[in-house]
Amino acid sequence: MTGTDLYLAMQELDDVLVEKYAEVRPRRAIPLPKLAAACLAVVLLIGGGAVAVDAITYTQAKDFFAENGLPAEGLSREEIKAVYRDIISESFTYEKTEEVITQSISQAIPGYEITADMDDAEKLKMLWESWQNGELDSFIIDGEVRNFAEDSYQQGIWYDEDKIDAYNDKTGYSKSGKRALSKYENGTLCWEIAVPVDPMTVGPVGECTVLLGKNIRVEVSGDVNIENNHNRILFLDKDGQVLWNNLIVESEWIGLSGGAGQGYMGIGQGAGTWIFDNHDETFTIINYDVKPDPDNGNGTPYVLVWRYDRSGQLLSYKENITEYRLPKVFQLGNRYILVHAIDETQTKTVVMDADGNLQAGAEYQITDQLQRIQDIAEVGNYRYISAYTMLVDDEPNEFGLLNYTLTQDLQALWEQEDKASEEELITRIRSHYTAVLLRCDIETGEIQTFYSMPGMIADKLEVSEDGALIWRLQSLTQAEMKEAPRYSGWVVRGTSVIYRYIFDTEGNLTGKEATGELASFRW
Amino acid sequence: MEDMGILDLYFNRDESAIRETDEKYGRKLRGISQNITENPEDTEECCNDTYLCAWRSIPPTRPNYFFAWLAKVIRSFSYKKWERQNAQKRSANMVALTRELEECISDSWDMVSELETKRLGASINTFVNKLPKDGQMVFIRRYFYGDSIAEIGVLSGFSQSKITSMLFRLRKQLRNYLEKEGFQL
Repeated sequence: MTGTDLYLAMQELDDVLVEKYAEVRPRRAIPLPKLAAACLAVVLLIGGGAVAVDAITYTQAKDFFAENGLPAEGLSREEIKAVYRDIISESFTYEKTEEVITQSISQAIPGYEITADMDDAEKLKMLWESWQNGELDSFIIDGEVRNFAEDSYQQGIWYDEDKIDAYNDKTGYSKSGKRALSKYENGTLCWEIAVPVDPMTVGPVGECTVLLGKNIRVEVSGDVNIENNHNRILFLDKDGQVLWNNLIVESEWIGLSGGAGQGYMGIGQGAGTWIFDNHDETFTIINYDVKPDPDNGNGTPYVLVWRYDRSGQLLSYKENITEYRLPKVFQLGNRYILVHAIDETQTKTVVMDADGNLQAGAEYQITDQLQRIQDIAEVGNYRYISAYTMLVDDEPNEFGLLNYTLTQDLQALWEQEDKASEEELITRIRSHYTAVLLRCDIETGEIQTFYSMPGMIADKLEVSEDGALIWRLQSLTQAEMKEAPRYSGWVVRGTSVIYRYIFDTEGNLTGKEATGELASFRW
Repeated sequence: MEDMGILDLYFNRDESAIRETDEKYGRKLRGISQNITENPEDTEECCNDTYLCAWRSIPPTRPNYFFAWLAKVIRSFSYKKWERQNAQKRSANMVALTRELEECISDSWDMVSELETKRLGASINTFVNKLPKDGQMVFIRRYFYGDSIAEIGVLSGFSQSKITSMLFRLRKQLRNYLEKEGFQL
């Protein structure tokens, strides 16, 4: 044995220890004084930019169009140069630029419509930047094609750290105060407020908004300043006025950690934290995290559940209600289905009421193989689970991890000399997926595969007014393999058509139809 | 962004997962790799390999401690890179690290299997868990993160001579501990 063996054996150190001492290295000294360097950078930028824009050639512009997938059909050489100049100078005022950018996006994402009015240069610039940064993909979610206007800065709740210069804090719990939350509806600013917390997630309760966040309270004890994290819950009315602002119950558990960062907040579904309206003047908060555990290097997963009424009264609080990881929660009326991941191959679903009480006899395990649950619905005495399976390697890789075989399969396609046709690519991808509809007897907990569709990806479930179960399925119809320079690999981008499979109350398949809707596929 | 949010991006096959990972942990990960390879290009390559590994392994993997998971992956890639280039140009830091660790073992010990490595790793883990906080910090920063004595000095506020002496004692304790655990064949 050598010192190297010992060095390698240190890979077995507990994750908790590794994270505990993951200190950031001190920065090295910057050779130039900050101000001088910044001035120099500005001079270089301005000077360099001006020269570049003035010296545009048609070849440069054409290359730019090709690199960015911009359509040049119907444009003269001068117009192509003008669009190029308009984009790189970040003016976005040339009349043809909007047409070129929106066409480019619509072509890249079939069925994608940009309905926002893009006559404003700033909006067009944001659209372009979102597209360039790959952020536009996130506007197609849950298998539904959404338009940019609905999911952009013009809709929903946004968080900005620099919008308001100062927050006049009289309560003593805010230090920096440059935090603002704003709500948009159909492009109109409904309200904007300064918030005294680092927002983590927001959730709608009727027309009101619940905001969860944290702040740091500095307590002076003798000569020592002690910084403590505090989690707070704020209840905002429809105009954004804070109706109440309470400290969240402190416990031995870590509670809420992290922060939202700037940008769109994704109402209702924070990562690891969910806020649900119970539709009975109360709401429930579910928080999942992992607590460091000296006896278990992987830590101890825990779940906390709070139930509040709209006046801010804490109705119930439960902690550590389960012992498994919790990647997903589904709401069924005022009950919740917690989808636990026991490990990579085992899923356990547990039913919980709005107060965090687990319901006896309602839990069951899905142990077949890797299954990703997409949705859950109840019809009569049955609970239906829409999920899909993917093939995995028989043996773990060098890091002891199971990988999907799809990755290897696509890697082989990427490495082969002759490029695979789109048809071949689609066939390969489909062969790795099977959509399954599981049916669980609510009383007995018995679970069985009710329907399966090889080659398809399961999507949402719906229950019609007459009690029919509608199972939405995605079928891949368009795919392209592209280089991903960020990590020297590749990505697959594609589009699936969504079908509806309809089952009557007896569970008989009574029809199937294409919805005309599209969903994006990514790998 | 919270780790769980970043992991959700991976699960949704959203490429911004890589950007978020890099923004949050890129600097720390490069620090680990740089300590092993001592080469910026190799470090960048190991960082890219780590992100690719994350992209391909998540899902189905969902690490509880995302940074620790990434740190172990980049450490492994960086070690392999160092090993391949070892014949041409040896990284002074790695040579020093592995030489120091050799003080904890006997030449007669023979690592015969991966299982043995795992058992050794588990014993080191137990040993480190039992150390006082200062000892843990110094040991892990030196032998997991590969920090120099001077860098640990900046982080801990201890003098370099104190850290050198602490590490000497810790290696001796580890040697004794491993002997008790039956690693001397």
